[in-house]
Amino acid sequence: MSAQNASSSLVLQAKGLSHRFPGGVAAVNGVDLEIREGEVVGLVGESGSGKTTLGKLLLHIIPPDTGRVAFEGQDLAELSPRERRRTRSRMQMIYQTAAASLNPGLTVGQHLEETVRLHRPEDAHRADALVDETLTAFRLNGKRALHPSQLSGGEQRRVVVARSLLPRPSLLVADEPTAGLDASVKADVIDLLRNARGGRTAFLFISHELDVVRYVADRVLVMYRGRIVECMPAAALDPRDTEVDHHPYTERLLSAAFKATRRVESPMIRPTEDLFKAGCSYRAACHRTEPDDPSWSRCSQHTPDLIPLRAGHRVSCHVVAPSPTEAS
Amino acid sequence: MSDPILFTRDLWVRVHDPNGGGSPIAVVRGANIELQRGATTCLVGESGSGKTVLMRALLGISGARPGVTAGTAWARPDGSEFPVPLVGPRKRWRGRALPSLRPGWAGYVFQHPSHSLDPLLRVGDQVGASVTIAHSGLTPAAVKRRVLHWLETVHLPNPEAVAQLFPHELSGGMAQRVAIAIALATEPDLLVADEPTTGLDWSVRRDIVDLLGELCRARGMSLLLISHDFQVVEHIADQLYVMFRGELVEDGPRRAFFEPGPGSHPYTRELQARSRALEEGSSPPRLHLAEQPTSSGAGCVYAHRCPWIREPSPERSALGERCRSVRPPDFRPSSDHRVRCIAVGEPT
Repeated sequence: MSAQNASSSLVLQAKGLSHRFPGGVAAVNGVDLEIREGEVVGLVGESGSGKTTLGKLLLHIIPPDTGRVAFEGQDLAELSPRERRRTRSRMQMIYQTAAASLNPGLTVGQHLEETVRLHRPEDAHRADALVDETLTAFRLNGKRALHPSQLSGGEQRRVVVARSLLPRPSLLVADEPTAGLDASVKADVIDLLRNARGGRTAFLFISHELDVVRYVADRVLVMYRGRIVECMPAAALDPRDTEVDHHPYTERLLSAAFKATRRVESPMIRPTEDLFKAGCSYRAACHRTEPDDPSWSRCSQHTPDLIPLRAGHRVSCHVVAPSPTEAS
Repeated sequence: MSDPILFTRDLWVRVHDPNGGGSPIAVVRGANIELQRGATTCLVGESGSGKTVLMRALLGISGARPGVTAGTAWARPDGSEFPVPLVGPRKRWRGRALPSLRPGWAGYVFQHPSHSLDPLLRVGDQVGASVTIAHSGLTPAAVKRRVLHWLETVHLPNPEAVAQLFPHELSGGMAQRVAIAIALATEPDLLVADEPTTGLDWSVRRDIVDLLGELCRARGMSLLLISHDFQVVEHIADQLYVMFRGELVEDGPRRAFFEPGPGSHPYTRELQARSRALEEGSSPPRLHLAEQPTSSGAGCVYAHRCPWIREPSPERSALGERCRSVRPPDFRPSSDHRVRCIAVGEPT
């Protein structure tokens, strides 16, 4: 949407982000990412593909092993802990399990009052009115004195969303904010997120629900085993559109929609050499190539780059998007 | 021909008011539900509408107190009827198990697989515990054979290895499948799955739903799927119940919901419109949550959100008052389709 135009300023710029968990598995492996003001970037991928870790790296909740994150032009690694804490007001995260990120001993009101005190000290004198305003906006009237355990799942989620938007962040990483919510509450949470700060808050929207992502996001990233394997305009994420080329993994995800026209079956995972050393990490489950194919050696030896297929759409796959040097 | 495996008559469940009010509030209000043998029944409705409470009460695992306060339920696992001992306040039923029913006749896949697995036991031991409910006196080797059989049935790759894993070593999709294997290992006649696809990616979601359907067909098992994912429901349901604030506002066979025909409840229409909007990438209909339901309990449970009352067409302008004060009667567009709505019953 409007956020796509290049003149709007960058909120976040990440280069070469990697993070390896103890034990040697690369959760995030060489990710570059730019998010502009007010832009909603969707991030999809299977469980364990590194989505949540990437979100945490971007906010320096986990410091990256390699790579840099610049938030509003400032390199987060160069900030002192104190300065970094101050930027926290402008970069917020909604964690996956709403219930677990609320303090069971505090009431809804106390959660929000604390947020005002920490992140908007200038408004501390009218904290009470501000909390009431927020509760009304998030349809939590009458819940101020309740503890999290007395709320339904949808209400807990709204408290978490309200709390994360109260500091008026310019970037919000929302990790599956709609998982497990029913359709009406889901639509409700989505609308609250989209209208945050009159559309000036940028989002990284992490979700499994491709239809929700397509509706919410301007741009969608697909992650597989720690890498971004595809980057596309949100409209391209359509199970019923078979014209658009996708990464084989995206293809499989989309074909699993109940209304999809054809189902791509993934072959049984093939035993392969160390997937993390070299080559495409999806080759073990890929339906576009096989060990007997002439293309296999390329897939198993070279990690594919993100190659543009058309404007705003890049795919990292030797088969779907061969790089210009290979093609020649 | 109606051959229910489980049915209820006017079932009420009440729980303590979370806001600290004195009298218990009804979370299931007069439920009449019939689960047909060998069929897939879906129970849909939003969070907090009482779906889970209803099913837990029926299977005698209700943790909500005071619990079931009125109504009857009957199970017919093999054609003969057994009353289900509905749990009242806990102190009155403690120690009384389901006397006449075979242990394990019903399996339950809980909402959060990662919470329902014991973190300290290997997967194989947990499935094995279920196996011994269905077959007592098996040798350890025979139990192990059956464990591997069930892990294979739920399409887990390499069951031998999976049996040795602890729950924290499983991915979400694998944990969900293990939970299903545990429920299946008692060889139930009825399987209740409470939102089995929440938080799974599309590929795994499709696998799990297809697997449940396949198991029903292959084993003649009845399935009750509790869900608020209308796409899943449309894919698998034979029979649907729609629940809103404790009341079953509509039920009927699949065709009543997914084929054009006489009226649906306005809440069902809302659910369908939302699901369709997301699929088509358009903006989901506005929700007017700001209006609070009337506390008196009289009138239609959906009245405070009903678009037909908020923006009435000229013919319906007189409805609002009645909807808010009179409990709507059941209207039957056809013999097997029931809608609890005044407006649907009196087409204008």
